[in-house]
Amino acid sequence: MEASLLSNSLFWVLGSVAIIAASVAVLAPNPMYSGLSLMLIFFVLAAIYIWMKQEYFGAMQLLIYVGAIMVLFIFMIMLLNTRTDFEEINLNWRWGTAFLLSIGLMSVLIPAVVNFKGSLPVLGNYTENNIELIGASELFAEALWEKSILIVELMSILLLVGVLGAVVLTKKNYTDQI
Amino acid sequence: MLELLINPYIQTILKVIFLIFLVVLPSAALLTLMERKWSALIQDRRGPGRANIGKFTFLGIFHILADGMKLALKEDFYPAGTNRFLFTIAPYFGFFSAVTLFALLPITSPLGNFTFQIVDVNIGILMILAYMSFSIYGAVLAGWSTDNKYGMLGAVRASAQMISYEVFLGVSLLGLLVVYNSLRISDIVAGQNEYWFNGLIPKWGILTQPIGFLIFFTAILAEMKRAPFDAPEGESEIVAGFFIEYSGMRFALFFLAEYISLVGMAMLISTLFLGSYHFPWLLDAGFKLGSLPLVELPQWLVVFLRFITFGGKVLFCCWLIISIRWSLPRFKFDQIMKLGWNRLMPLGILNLIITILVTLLF
Repeated sequence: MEASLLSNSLFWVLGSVAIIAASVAVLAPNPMYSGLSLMLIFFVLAAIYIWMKQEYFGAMQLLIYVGAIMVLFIFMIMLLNTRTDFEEINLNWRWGTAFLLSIGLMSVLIPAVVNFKGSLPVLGNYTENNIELIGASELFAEALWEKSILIVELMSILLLVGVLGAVVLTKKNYTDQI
Repeated sequence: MLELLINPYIQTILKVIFLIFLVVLPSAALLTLMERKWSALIQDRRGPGRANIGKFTFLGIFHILADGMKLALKEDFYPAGTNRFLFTIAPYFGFFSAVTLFALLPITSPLGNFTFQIVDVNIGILMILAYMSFSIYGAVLAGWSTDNKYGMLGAVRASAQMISYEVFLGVSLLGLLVVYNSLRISDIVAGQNEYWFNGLIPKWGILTQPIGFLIFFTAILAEMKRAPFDAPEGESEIVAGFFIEYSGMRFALFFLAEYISLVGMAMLISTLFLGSYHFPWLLDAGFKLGSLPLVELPQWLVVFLRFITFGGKVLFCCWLIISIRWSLPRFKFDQIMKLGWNRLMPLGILNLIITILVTLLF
């Protein structure tokens, strides 16, 4: 009983931190603060995953988003001159697009929240019972490498093509200059 | 009172307090002195030893106290042009990532139901890698927020180096995961107490994964930004790199975080590759070498011997890392990148392929 009370209040704390960080990410004048609060959102999301007993996804969130992607974002912001580089960009036309996109997202999210009735049944093997018994990473590996192996391989080829494309694009300019 | 102690939440909090105040902070503080003493040994000097209380110097142990007081009494100073908020929070990132590592590593085998490990999660190694990646933010934010060109150069070097070497760290661990067939730390630890040839040679990580160990050790040195990989703070080129403008207690946080992560990494190397707390041929019931008869030992003695063994291994790793720093010159930055992407990365993938083939065939 105590444990469930503790974990429920933990959810509210994490959720409110995520919402505050999200508003800061949008509203902050300094892009560095936006980047850092985006990192905080990813961190809190990882904590929420772990709260939901999905340790594997929590760790992956930390490892990929916080540990790699956000570092690259902040690296990019660091190399820009934040005092001058951002004043020249005209953001006006983007407001309309952003508005339409958020309305589209909200039209999906709000009905989902309104129609939510307690816990939904879990489909497939990835149940709480199985996670306790077999382990989250084992279940995930089974799903990934046995059932959807073809999709995983296709994705890896897609990523490889992306990497090669990036190398080719950078190399072309480089040889021209020499 | 005793009921309170059985409560798992209370136990966890007690373990955290014990680990932070009796293991992590004292060992990090002692290491700051040991580094200077060991470097003196290498350079044929005597090292610091003048600080005293009355007549007693105790091999210079009061230098820790004197250094701490000096740093605490310094002025709390912000250079002009710094971003104060980021300047203040930057040291805590490194500190956070250094301390969280200890939550996942066991220091000795369980005594009855009581484990000497704060949490044992299903995805232990992934969690360790995830927390280690936080230390990049400390270096990057510290260098950027100081508004200093040297600091900025240090931050750029640190982020490029640490992102790259995190990749090799992960690749070097893949082979280990294949051998012990689990991501859980306690499974890897238990797997290292199995033996080849009818109980003669222990299956330690360094014996099952020699190439993986070399890559892991190199990547750990680079992750900690220690010599020969200390280009982010190379004092002959960019003075002190990313923490150039820090002084007083904020500098002390960086300094302490470096030594805490030195202890943490030494623990990590011992746990994953040097058999963790296992002494060769010391099983749960007692000593057993090959087919010789078992010498029985009580459980508390086994647990205590294992704690001593683990401490010895950690101390050995600390000594190794520190003596490497004082023996080798610094790599140039392009050499660091070349070593990583052209040597360690293909070697790591080759190691993984060989490991998988060997595990599948035998």
